[in-house]
Amino acid sequence: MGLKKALNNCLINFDCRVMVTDLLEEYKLSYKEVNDTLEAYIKGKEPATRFEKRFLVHGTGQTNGTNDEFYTIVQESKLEDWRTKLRDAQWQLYSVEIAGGSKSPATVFRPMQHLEVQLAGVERRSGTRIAEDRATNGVQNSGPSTNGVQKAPTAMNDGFKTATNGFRNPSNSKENTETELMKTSPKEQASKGKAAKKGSINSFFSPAGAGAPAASNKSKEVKATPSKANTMDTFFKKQPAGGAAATAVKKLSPESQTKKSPESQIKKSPDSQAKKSPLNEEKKESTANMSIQLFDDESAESSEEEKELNKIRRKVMASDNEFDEEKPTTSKRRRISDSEDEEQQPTKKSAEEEVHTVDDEMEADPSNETFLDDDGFVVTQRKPTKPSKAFKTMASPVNSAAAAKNKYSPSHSVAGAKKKSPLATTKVGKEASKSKQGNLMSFFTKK
Amino acid sequence: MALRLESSYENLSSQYRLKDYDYQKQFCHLYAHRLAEMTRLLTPLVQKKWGKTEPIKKLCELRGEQDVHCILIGTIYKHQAHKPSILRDISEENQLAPQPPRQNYSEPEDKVILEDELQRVRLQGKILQTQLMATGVVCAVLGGTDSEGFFNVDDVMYYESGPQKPLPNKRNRLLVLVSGLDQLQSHTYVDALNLFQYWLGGSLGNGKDAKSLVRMIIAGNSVRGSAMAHVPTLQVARTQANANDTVQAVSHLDSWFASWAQCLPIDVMPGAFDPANFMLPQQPFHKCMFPQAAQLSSFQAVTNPYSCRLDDALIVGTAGQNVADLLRSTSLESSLEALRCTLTWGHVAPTAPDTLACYPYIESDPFIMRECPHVYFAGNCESFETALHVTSEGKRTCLVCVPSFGKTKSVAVVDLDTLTSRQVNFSTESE
Repeated sequence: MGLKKALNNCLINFDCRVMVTDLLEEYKLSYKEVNDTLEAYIKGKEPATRFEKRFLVHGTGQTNGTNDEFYTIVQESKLEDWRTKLRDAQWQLYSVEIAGGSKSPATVFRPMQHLEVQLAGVERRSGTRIAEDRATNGVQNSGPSTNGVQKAPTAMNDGFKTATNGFRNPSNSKENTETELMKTSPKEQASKGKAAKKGSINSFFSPAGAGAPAASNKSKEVKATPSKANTMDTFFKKQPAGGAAATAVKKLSPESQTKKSPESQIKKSPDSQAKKSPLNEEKKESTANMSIQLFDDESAESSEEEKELNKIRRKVMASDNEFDEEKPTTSKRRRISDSEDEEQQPTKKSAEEEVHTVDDEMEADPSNETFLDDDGFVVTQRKPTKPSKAFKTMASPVNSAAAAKNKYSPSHSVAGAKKKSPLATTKVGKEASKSKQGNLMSFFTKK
Repeated sequence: MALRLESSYENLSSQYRLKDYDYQKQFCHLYAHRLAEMTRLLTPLVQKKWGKTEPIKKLCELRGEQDVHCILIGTIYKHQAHKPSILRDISEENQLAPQPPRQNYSEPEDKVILEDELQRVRLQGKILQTQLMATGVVCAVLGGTDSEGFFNVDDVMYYESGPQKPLPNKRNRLLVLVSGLDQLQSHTYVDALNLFQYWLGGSLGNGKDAKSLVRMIIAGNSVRGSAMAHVPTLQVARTQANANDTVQAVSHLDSWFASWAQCLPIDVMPGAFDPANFMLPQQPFHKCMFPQAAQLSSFQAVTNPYSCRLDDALIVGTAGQNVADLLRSTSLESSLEALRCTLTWGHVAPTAPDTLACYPYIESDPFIMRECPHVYFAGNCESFETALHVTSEGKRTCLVCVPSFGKTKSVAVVDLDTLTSRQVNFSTESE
């Protein structure tokens, strides 16, 4: 609707102060057009209604011996003074309101959107998307942003996600997560489900559907993962696979999809990595560069560590008895992650200790999470140094063996995930864990 | 909708970017490098001006001899009785008389001493203008020793900021210089800020001029314009409130910058009271502070001091700390004169690290002006001042003291072709 029409229809309320700059923003007109239209309207109304007008006077004047340019807002009563005071004075309306009555509240000024002169090509940078998404995604807690008690994992995850996805409308972030899920091929979904199983920490923290974020986000941010997080990963991989993770994907609410744990974000499976297109890899690199450069050095270490781990895994895969072989694998892994000179005791107790040592390591070296709060400030938050008791109980070696099994036989796990219902999976998991415990015991006694 | 003129741009501030941080080093390295570098630059100029008949000597070569006429190159040290001294502050603990805080500690009795690598000698002579000298200035002096151990100065020579590239005539290009936006106090001048933004966008009937604006440099104190008053309090809430205010101010600035960067390129420098590092050179604001604006390639956070080249014009400037410190330690009366002195001395911040906080560089002195700028500015000045500084060699530099927007509601506009500057004022007649 045009300004003239709006004025004629009394859609503009002159009881409050009406700014010309507001009108030119709203009706996308030039200042002159707004001024002319408004003046014509006021002239038509003036005898009956008294308006209080303020004018913008433009001209040049002498101050301190220099020719200064002035843009001054003056009352109508002082307009004449300023017209004589300034050279080449020009004046236009700046604001109008009905005279008398109560004083108008202070005007709220907003950054301009309507530009008469614009830059030829305003390019957008790719690396700064994170902050905007975080500021406007609405998922975060709306409480005070500077108190440092924000939901760090959520913020971090959002940052990772948006960085990898490039330019996206922040309001679409939830939808994108869903569409991402829908678009992936069944094969990929299977691998994602597998990844979700490995990231069983999700199922621990949010049992309902933590597998989904893991599946949706996969391992794009692996490069940015600090080595400490990797050691934590190896620990988490031992957890009972969230068998229901793959099947629970569809049941997830969008909210639960956006609220992801950081562990799910940093998961990485070699298979899925191989499947990635070069484009994705480029994106991943840029993400690592842009969002968390601080971890560059550590990620180099982690790649070496992974090589060693892969070697060990291959050995395990080659062996006939997977239960008997998996335990040494995990112990070797532990040795890598903890210390080389530490000897493993082939007892159940030592296996329990293993869990504790890994936990201790987490306590000793909590990796920081850096993210942006609502106002775009960097907040560094340490990961919880003391995991809950329940967390420790989940991290029993027995379950870890089960998880390891799932991990090392992808076809089995995928098939299992597809065929079995979540309930059935847990039942089978319990039985399997009992048999595995027996196998482990026998392994240690052999040794 | 009209399109803005475009100009080539090159950021030359890499010398001010800190690669690593090591605050354990002594400042003597900085002085040593400054002297070595400027001696190398000054020597050919000295020989050209005073001839090769006058020998350039080190102080140790004089060996207390009298009536030796020679040239000395060294760093000025100004002995000032009332200069802030941490040792004196500590001595207050011994119940000695507390030092009264001073806005200016320059006095006629100040002694000017010239130091080289090993020794020092006290200078005297009318040509010196001791009250206008500052600690840290490197100069060459021509004169002779006397029986009392003084060095009588006949002539002084400064580096004068090195050579300058000629500026070819081009179309009308304008540079906008703003400082002291002081967002925390912006509620007192919202109308002025509103006018300013529409002026940038060319909406106030200034479309022709607006098209010529090729860049805007915001020279510090965008968040806060003055030092925070530290009222002793036990209330944690007060501190928290201050922090929240700052966060909100930065957030608002972000939206302003994001809007302005749509219509012209913006460089934002940190200032003395901004949430940035304290020591010079101040490092650019992190892009996370301005998440909306940082998305645009036309917005960038830069260092303080800042140096860039627009087409062929070299632009150098600071947020004003160097000028403010000189005004405290010398008898210079205006910011413009202080700015002119730093240009003549060939050093952006000669009083650093003596009375102006500065990173302890050990391998270089980035504040030496090796090339004479076409535009040289200092932000956050009390009022707008400008002058065209022309040297004997014909180098022309437009000196601009950029007024604080929060105080004067005005900005400076520099014509990059004619090297002239004017003030544009956005004010509101009080009701």
